[in-house]
Formats: sequence, structure tokens, C-alpha cells
Amino acid sequence: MKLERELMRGAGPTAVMQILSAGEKYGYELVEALSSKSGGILAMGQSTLYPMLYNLESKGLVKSRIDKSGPRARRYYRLTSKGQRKLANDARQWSELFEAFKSLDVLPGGTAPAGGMA
Amino acid sequence: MSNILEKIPTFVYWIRLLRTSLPDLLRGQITGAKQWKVVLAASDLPENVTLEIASAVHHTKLWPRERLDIARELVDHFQDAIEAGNTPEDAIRLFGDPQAAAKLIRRAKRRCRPLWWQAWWWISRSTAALLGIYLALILWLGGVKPQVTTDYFAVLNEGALDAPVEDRAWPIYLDIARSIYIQKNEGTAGLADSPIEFEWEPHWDEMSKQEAATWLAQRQDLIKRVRQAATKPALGVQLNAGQQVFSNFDPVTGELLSTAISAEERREASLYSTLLGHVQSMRGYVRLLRHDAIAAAERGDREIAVADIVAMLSVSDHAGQGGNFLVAGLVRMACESLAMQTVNEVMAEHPHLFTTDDLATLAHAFAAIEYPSDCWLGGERFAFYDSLQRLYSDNGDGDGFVTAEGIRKLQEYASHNNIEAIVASERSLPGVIEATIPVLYFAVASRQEVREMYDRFIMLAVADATTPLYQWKHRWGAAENYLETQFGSMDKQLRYYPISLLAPGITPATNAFHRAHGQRDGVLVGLALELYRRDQGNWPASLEELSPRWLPKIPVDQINGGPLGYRIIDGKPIVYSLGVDSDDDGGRLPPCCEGDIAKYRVHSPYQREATPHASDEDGDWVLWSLAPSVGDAENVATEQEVTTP
Repeated sequence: MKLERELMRGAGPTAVMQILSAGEKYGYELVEALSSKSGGILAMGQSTLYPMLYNLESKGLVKSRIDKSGPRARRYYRLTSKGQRKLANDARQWSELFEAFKSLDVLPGGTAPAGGMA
Repeated sequence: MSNILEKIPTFVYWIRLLRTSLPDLLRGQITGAKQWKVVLAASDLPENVTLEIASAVHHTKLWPRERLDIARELVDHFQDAIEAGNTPEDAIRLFGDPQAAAKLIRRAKRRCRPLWWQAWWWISRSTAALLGIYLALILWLGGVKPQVTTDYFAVLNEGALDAPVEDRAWPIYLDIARSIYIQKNEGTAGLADSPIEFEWEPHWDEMSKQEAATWLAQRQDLIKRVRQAATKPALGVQLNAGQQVFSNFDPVTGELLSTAISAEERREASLYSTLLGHVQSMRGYVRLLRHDAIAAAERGDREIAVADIVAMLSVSDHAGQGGNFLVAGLVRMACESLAMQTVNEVMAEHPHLFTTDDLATLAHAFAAIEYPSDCWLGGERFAFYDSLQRLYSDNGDGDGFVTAEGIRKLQEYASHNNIEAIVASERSLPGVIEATIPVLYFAVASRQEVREMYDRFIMLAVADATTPLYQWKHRWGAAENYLETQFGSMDKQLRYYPISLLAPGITPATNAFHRAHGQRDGVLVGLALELYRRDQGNWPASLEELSPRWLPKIPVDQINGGPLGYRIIDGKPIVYSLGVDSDDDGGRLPPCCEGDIAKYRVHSPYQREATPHASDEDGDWVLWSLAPSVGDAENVATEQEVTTP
């Protein structure tokens, strides 16, 4: 199941930053990681990844470099310290969101009273 | 060969330089034009993939350097995708729509551009938007024209012809002007020059009494007709734009040339274009009567002297009926002042000329002078309203904004109808004024606001004229103070430009109003004194003894509000206001008058000490004097007996 576009708009950058927090990666590597580690749920259109990376770069959350050491030159992306702070903040907000959904019984494991949603 | 190899890097460099676009060169980057296509061509990707990448890169419409980066990255991406086991078709499918991608890439890449570019982008877009709005405003506002909905000439002329024809003075004045014009231009072939005020009066100041008497004796018919016109209660003329009746006669037939203007011309002409040349002509008639009265007094003809003085007041009143404009009022007051001065001079020179009945007739004539409650500002108000409807648009609720046509009119007004200036403004580039209309829309006050400010100004001016000088709270009057505080700064002068330009100079007018009242009081007191003296055999000890038999009410000092000064010098009375310094100087004129009563500056005593010429005003305002010489009053007092009742 793939996320709806509007949900992906908020979740995508956080997911990309999370993957980059483990180490720098190049574009296709990121695409594969997003798909494989999320079970395909966060698999985004490949054409949207690069604009997302450029946006993150314009905000100073990621930084890119060209590595010419391999068989061909590649552009690698890594998370900056600012990006790390942003990731931590986003993670906290997502966590709070999930807790709120649990309370509302949108997600299982909530504490809402019997009888369904208040 | 080695020479060629050595030159290859240079050769490649020049090729790159030549293939670099101008924007990149200006940015100091030698990217090589369409370098990204070279990268695509050099990759080993299948053709369908390179076409996909080319489509995406091309549609980004980014800088060549940016396209190069994107092309390289996408080449890497598709190479990785194919190496990962995807077919080129799968890789293309997984990538998505290249044009959609291009749009997203473009947006994102532009966010990465340097700060100066971001600033330039926002500034240029904002400027373009503002320019667009400005142009739209020019088109909208520039096309709006003023609507002349009220015929203020009709308002001004309301009642002008109510009097029966036989009670109108105008036909007589017209006839007088015709005969003067024909006499002046007798023998002239063709149309003569038409001066606005053709000179028929002699230079009175340069004539001796004998010469003046001779001149007057030869023009008794003219003087009789002026007296005849003076007997009519109403002037009976309607004013019009561009009407200058005293210079449009056929020099041969004497027929009045048509001064009628078409309805279109009348709509175009504003009240400010009303010509009041006849008002100045009446001033000439008043001077004529004055000198005739003096000549009559010289030869002992009291009937003519009285008739002339009374006629002076009537002609003065006719002058004031000229459209209820401020200038008409000022001329009227000046003419009345001449009449008062004439009475004073005749009685000083010929103390036994007038009979008691003559004195009573003169007293009644001067007492009958009435001043309009709006102080001749009614005509000015109409003229201003008329200007507003020619300067501003009309939204139907009395409000609107200044139009391009209105600005042109203001330019004309500002040039005081200087023809050269008007022609110069007409030669200015077309559309220049329209281009500034959006700015003026916000800079210049709305029609309603201007009208309200002007109405307040006029209200204050009327209050100044009708409030005694000693009750003023501002040195030069509330109206002048209002002008100074509301329109003193440059931005306010622009905002209320119509008022700055068209508001009349009020201070001289309101001061003239108070001067007229003061002088009239002086004449009435003077005539009453003479009547008292003839009845009682001596001058009264104080002015209070004149009331109520010879003077119903004793006037107060117009400047100070206290009692008028009164002294007997050499057996002759002098009545005076203590003046702006509120100091009784015994009827001595201040130095600034140089011995001439007419030069006394009448104004409020409020904060007089703060003015630079305060010391120059140490003296009194003489209202009536039969003493030999007002300027020598102090000297006379030291030499002869002075009684101060």
C-alpha cells in the first residue's frame, strides 16, 4: 500500500532524512532504501525524490558532494547537523501524532472509553 | 604532432568558451552551451532513456550549469536503475512523468539559488505586479473625466435681474461706458484696441484744484448720468465668463459687440474666469464723484456736494453687487472709505457748508450701509465649488478624486492664466499627467475632504470678519491660522493643493471688513458731533452725550472693545481708536502711517508685542478729525489749548 500523496508530502522528507542519518547515500540508493525499509509504503515516485532532495538542500538540512572516486562520478547526500535537529523534531511530532491517533482509536492500542470514538 | 597535442587543451577551452551561453559568461562560468546534451550523448544509456532525461532536463528551463548537474544526476540514476536489474522501460516507468519531474526540479533548484537571485526574483516580480497594478490604475483613473453638473453662474446670478428694468443701474453704466469709449476712440478707423480698463480718468493727484474743476465742468453730463445710475437700488447685471463689457463697443456705431458665449463655452468656463472689470470702472466713477463733491464744496454748492457723496455710497454698493466676490467687496469698502474721507475733508475745509438737514441726510446714508453676513465670501465659495466639479470626478455622493483634466486646470490656475505658461504646459508630453494620476489619487485629498476643509476655512473667515478684533485668539485670524496649521507643510500643500492654490488671501479682506466698520463708526460719530455742536453751541464733553438723540448707540473701539478716544484740539474734534497698542496717544498717528490715515494697519491686537514692527505701531487709528492736520496733532496740542473732555 502506498501512502496518499498528501500524507507522503509530510512523511517523505522525514523518511529521507531518517535514512540519511545512517550515512550518506546517492539518489538511487535512497530510492531503494525507502522502498525496502518501509515495505514499499514510503516508496515515492522516483521523479519526486530529487526535487525533495534539492528542497532539503536549499533549507540546509542535507548537503551534497560529488564523489569521483568510483567508476563514475556520483552525487552523495548527507544529513547536516541542522537536518539532524529537524529530524529529531519531526520524529517527536510524529510520535505525538501517533499517540493522539491511538487515543482516538484511529490506531490500535488506544485508551478511548468503550463505545468507540468520543 | 606534439605541437597539435599541446594546443588541444587550449583548443578545447576555446570551444567550451565559444559554446558557453552569455548569462553563464556574465556569471563568470565557462560551462559550455548545451554541455548537458554532451553528457547525455556521452552516456551509454539507451536512446529512449536519454530522450526521457533530455525531456526532463529541457523542461526545467534552468540555468545551463544547473541543467548540467541535473543531467549528470539523472544519468547516474538511470544507470544505477539499469545496473540494479531494471529494464530501461521499467526504469522510465518507475521514474515517472519527466515534465512533472521537471516542474518539481525547477521549483526546488531555484530555491537553491543564491540570495541575490532570490532577492532579484522577488523584487522583479513585485515590481512587475506593481507596474501592472499601476498601469491598470492609469487606465481606470486616467479615463475618468470631471462632470460639470451644477451651473454656478446661474447660482451666482440668482436674483440679479429680479429688480424691474427701471430700477437697474446697469443699462446706465453701459451707456456711460459706450459714450466714454466712443469719445476716446473718435476718429479711429476700424476696430480700436480694447483695453480692459480704458483710461478716461485724469491723474487727479497731478491736477490742481482749478484744473480739476475745469475738467469736471466739461463733463457734467457724464457726472449727472453717474448720479442717475446711483439712484437705482440694484445693479441688475448677470455675470458671465469672459464678459468684459466695457471694451467691446463698435467705435463707429457705439453698438455693444456681442459678448455672448455658447453653452459649450459656458460649460467649459469656470467661475474664476468671470471678469469683473466693471467693478474697477465703478471705482473710477466714485473718484469722479468725490472730486466733483470737493469742487462743489469749493464753490459753495452744498446740494451737489451732498448728492455726490450719497451717490458715492450707492455706486460703492453697486460695485459690491458684482457677483458677491471678495474683490467686489474690497472695492466697495474702498469706495465707501473714499466717501467717508470726502465727508471728513469737506467738513474740515468748509465747516459751515452743510445744513443740519444735509448732515442728517449724510448720517442716514452712512448708517444705512449694510455688510453681507458672509463678507463677500459667498462668490468665492461658489467659485471654489465650481472648480471642484471641474477638477474632480463625481461618484454621485459629492465625492471623487482629482482627474488628469483637473491637474491640467490646476496648472492653468497656478500660471495665473499666463499664456506662455499655458502653451508650455500644453506642449508637454501627452500622457505625462495621466501617468502620475495613480500617485495623485492617493496624494491629493478627495473631493469631499477638500470641500470640507474649505468650508471650514470660509466659516472661520466669516467668523473672523464678524468677531471683534479684540476677541481674536490668533494674531492674523482663525482662518489664516487654519491655513498655516493645516496647509503649512509641503505634503499638506500637495494634499490640499486646490485649497493652497485657490483659497483667497483672507487676512487683508477680514481686516478691511473691520476697518470699514471702524471708519463708518468714525463718520457717524463725527456727523453726530457736528449736529450736537450746532444744537448745543459747543462740543460735548464726552461721546456719551451724543446718545441717544444724535447717535442711537455709541460705537466701541473696533480694535480694543473699549470706548473710543475723543479730544478737542484747537477747537476741533478728533475721534480715534486707541489702536493695536491699546495706548491712548491722543489721536496721534503711528510712525508707520507717515501722516496718512489711510495707511493705518488695522489688525488684531492679539500678541502684538511679539511682532517685529510693534514699535512702529505706537499711535492711534484716527477715525474722524476736523483738526488742521492729523499728523501734527501732537504739535498742535503743545502749542494751543487742548481740551480732553
